[in-house]
Amino acid sequence: MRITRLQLRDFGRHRDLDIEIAPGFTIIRGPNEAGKSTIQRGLELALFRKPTAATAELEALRSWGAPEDDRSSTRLEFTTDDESGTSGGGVLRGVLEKEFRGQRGRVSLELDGQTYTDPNKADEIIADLTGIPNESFFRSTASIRHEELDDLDRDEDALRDRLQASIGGGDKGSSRARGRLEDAIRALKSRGDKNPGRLKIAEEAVARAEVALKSGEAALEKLEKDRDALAVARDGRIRSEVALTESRNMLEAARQAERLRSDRSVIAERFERYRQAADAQRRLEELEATPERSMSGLRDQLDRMRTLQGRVSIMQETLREDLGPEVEPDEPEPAFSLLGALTAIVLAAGGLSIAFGVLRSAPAVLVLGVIFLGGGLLLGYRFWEYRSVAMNVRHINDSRGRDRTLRRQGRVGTEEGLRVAQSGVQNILRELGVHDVATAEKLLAAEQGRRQEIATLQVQISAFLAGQSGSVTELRDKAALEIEQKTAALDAIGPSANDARARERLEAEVRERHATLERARDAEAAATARVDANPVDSEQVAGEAERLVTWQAQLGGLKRRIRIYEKTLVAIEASESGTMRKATRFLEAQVGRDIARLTGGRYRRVNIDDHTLDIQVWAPERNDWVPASQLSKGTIDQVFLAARIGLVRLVTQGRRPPLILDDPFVTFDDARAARAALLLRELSSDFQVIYLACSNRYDGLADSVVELPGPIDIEPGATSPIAARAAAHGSGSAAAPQAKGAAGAKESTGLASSLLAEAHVSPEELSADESEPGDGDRDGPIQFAQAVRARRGDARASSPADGPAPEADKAPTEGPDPEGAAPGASGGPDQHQEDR
Amino acid sequence: MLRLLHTADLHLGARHTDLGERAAVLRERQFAAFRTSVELAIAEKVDIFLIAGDLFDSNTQPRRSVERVAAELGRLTRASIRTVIIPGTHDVYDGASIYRSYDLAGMARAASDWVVVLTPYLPEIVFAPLDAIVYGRVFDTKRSPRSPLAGLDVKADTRATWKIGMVHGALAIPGRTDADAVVFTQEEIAKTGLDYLALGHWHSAIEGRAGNVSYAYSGAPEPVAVDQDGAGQVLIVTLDDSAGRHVVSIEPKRVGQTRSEKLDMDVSSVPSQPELIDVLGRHADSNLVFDVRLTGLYPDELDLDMDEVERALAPSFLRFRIRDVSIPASPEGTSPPPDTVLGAFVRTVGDRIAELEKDDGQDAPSDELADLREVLRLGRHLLEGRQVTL
Repeated sequence: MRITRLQLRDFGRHRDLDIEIAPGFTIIRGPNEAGKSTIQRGLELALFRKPTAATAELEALRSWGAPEDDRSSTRLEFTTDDESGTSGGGVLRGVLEKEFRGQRGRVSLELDGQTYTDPNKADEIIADLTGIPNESFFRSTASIRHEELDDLDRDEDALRDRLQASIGGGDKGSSRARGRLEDAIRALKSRGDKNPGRLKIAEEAVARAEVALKSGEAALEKLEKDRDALAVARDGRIRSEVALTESRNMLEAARQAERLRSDRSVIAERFERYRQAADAQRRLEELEATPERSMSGLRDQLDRMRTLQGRVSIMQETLREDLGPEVEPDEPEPAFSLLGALTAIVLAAGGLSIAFGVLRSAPAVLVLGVIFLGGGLLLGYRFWEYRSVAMNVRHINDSRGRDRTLRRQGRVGTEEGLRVAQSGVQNILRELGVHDVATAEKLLAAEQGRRQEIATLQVQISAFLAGQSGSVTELRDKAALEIEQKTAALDAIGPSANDARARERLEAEVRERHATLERARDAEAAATARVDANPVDSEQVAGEAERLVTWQAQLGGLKRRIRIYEKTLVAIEASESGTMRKATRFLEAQVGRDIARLTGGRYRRVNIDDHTLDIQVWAPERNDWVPASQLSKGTIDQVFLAARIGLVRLVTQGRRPPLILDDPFVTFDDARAARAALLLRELSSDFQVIYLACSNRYDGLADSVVELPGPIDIEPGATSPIAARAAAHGSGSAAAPQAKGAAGAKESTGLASSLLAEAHVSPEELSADESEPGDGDRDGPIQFAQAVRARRGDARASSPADGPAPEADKAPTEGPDPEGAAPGASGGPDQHQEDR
Repeated sequence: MLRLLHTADLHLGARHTDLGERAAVLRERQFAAFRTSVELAIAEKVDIFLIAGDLFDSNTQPRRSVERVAAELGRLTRASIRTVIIPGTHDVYDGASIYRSYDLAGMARAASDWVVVLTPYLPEIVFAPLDAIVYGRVFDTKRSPRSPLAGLDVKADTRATWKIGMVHGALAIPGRTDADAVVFTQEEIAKTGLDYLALGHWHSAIEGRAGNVSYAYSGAPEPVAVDQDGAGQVLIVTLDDSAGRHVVSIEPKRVGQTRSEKLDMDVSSVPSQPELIDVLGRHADSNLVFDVRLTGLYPDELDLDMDEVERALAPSFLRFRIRDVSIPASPEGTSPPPDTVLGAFVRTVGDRIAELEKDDGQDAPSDELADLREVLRLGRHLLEGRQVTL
């Protein structure tokens, strides 16, 4: 595919750009800020960006000051080989137009008489024509930015990385992709204490939150259990209180019953006294109601009657005795005279014996005298007894004798007295109204009894009342009422009221229930203490749960991220190992061929490491492989370009996408730039080369040069000045800048020769100036510059306009004598050996 | 006429694991909604403030929460408004019940008949001055052994004119409420003879009529979970006597602030992260729980760092969450050449994805498939050197 015309509208700096491009080597030249990079971007987007894509970049690309509704648009005219032969074996012409309007963006691809507006289809066709599948792939292969070669100078790994990027198929190398993934995984999984990775932080946070939550949940569970226990304890305490109160009430009732019973008993005793008093009172009243007799008169009459009656009895007895048997005869008197005489004799004999014995000192006589004396005393006592009995008998006999006399004398008088006495008795009986004495006696006794009973009753009543005043019956009835009241109160207390042992039993029960209550209170206090001692705060636990979920989500996300990174890494590594070997072999062949052409056959073999893409070049002079990084800068550039183009060849599979280079040699010195430009010149036979440059130093090599105006030359709405500049350049008009046409390649060779001739450097020198690998190889470009300067003369070297290359400035101190170097530059390896 | 404020399901102290660090804010909002309800009751001069269960989210709430509630109940008492509470399924009246642990009336410095907690042991309260009686059907277990309305028939009760019932449970819906702990039926409601049945348990407001009985769920005054759009209000209930007929009117009043919104956004329409943040930022509302899902095909040129987006938008919402459930877009254009690492990578991973997609059918993608899609996107972007956040 070769682009013949590029149009950009409202595209960054370019409000309306229209340039024609040669099929071979086109240089688009302009000062800084002229929009060269924008053209490169424009080509990339024109070829590969979907017009419907909405990105910030496209928004930013809109021209400054463009109308609000205007959006960037691109138009490409191109030719491509007609492989199908529909055009008769020639070239197909196509037009690719894109208007970038987000969802409303549109594409139009005209090719071989057909028009395609489906973005996907258009992409597919362009990919097929270029062999480049997408924009990033284009950037990593056929579109080269100015910093890429510059990087090669600064970083030894840059060449490898750039190649890796190209072979990777993207903008950046797969090693960079791997590196980023590995860094990201390492950063996430870092376990260090000082800088722990997010995974560790999240895992630790989850662990902490889990522990805190578990502890909190356990505390909450305990709190619920303790509260449950507290409720049970409280219920138990309340039940105990109720039971105790009940027992205390019953005890109080029992005590009251006891008091009531006691009171009732006292009242009953009082009632009994009052009842007896009342009975006594009634009796007293009855007694007092009986007519009262004079006790003295009655007693006198009765005494008289009793006396008379006594007389009557006596006289009747007397008379009866007179009429009865005689008085018994006298009794004989017992004899005592003899005994008296005997007693006197014995006593006398005893007295005499004692006297004799004393006088004569005859103890036997004396004893005998004592015995006689004792006998005499006994006899004397008996004598006294007989004499007393005889005297009594004598007195009785005398008395009997007198009675018999009197009885006979008093009988008549007795009978008379009897009659009088009996008359007197009858009189008294009549007075008393009774019939006989016994009745009269009873009468007196009755009166005495009545009086005595009255007195007794009065005493009793007084005692019963015990000082109480008032009516006895009222007192009695009052007591009876009180008894009834007490009884009713007892009945109200219930059956236990009459249980004499209830109080004792209940006192024991109260004691027991009080102890139970105390235990229940202790249990409640203990349960309360457990609840109060639990410091758990459910809202804090909720916070822990919420934190845990948040951290778990974060941890899950991180784990997934790591998992994806790791899977991506594994897949990239697997893809690398599968593609590198094939790619490197292909590259070795391609780069070897190109480098041989570029170096005039000095280097022919290239070795590329399958894994690292490190490039080694076979140095025949050393008969060994030399790392490309040890080659001169110019050779490195060539190797890079060769490898890059090789990659394009590799991945485009025979297709020929345009190569677009945004001044990658901008920092090169003239000679180095010339060699690079020559390489492009060479390549332009295979690929269309579009080179964006600040300098005009390659103009001679180009088939076409398009000159861009400087930023101050662009005015909004102005027509493009490109054509005028292009025309002014003399390379052709804007309509036909390709003045050299198909013959450009040949002419350009001539131009290249003239460029080299201007520098007085032959192509052979250009190739041969590269010193052999080794310490001195860095001098190659310096020698080249020195040779150029030497052949042009010092005037060019001192011209500030051309800007002497830094290497040239250093030449006098670093390199050998320029004059001496010049011949050496055209010499072979041996000469270089000598230079060193 | 009798005026009631009916609320329920405040779930004070609830856990909001889906809100992360903002959960505490919603907890505070739940209490604020309760306070607003109290202020509304005072402003509306209602006679009774009914809380039909789940005032607290659990029986283990800290004392300070109970004290705050008690302080509000004290305000009601001072405004001559009686409060009747029934325990629910979260603050169930078991041995560890918060209503056993704390004396709400005492803490509110109110007489015991001004702040009343109906329990299995105190199933009703008569308010003679209001000519009203409130029946609460409460169990001391979370799962009721029978319907709470079984056998409740108050038609013959002549102690008061206005008869109000309170139940915390689910109105039976076959197939949906089978697992509920407390369930009752429309027929049972109709048989009660109540004038009004104040219900709790469902967090969205619903009202209805069974026979001559009006019933209503007040819903939660503030959402307890982020997707409870029917929450956020209380009910002002007026019971009036019109020519001997009891008329009940129910007026919902908004007291909650929090609302939630879910947005499915086609990620292919997102130009860039700053613009995504800008677009979503237009929904900014400190009362909004905003849940965004990115769907559709994730374009190659887009590089979103979800953490950054969340961090940028979190301060503008009560809770902001963004999840990416999109599928990475297929690579633009033709596949990279197979001889490149990228080409080999795309083919290897792409083939595996194709296999899994064939196995997965129409169901949700397996983790492996989702992973591989992301692996493909990430690897492709890394190999292509695109800007991609790791």
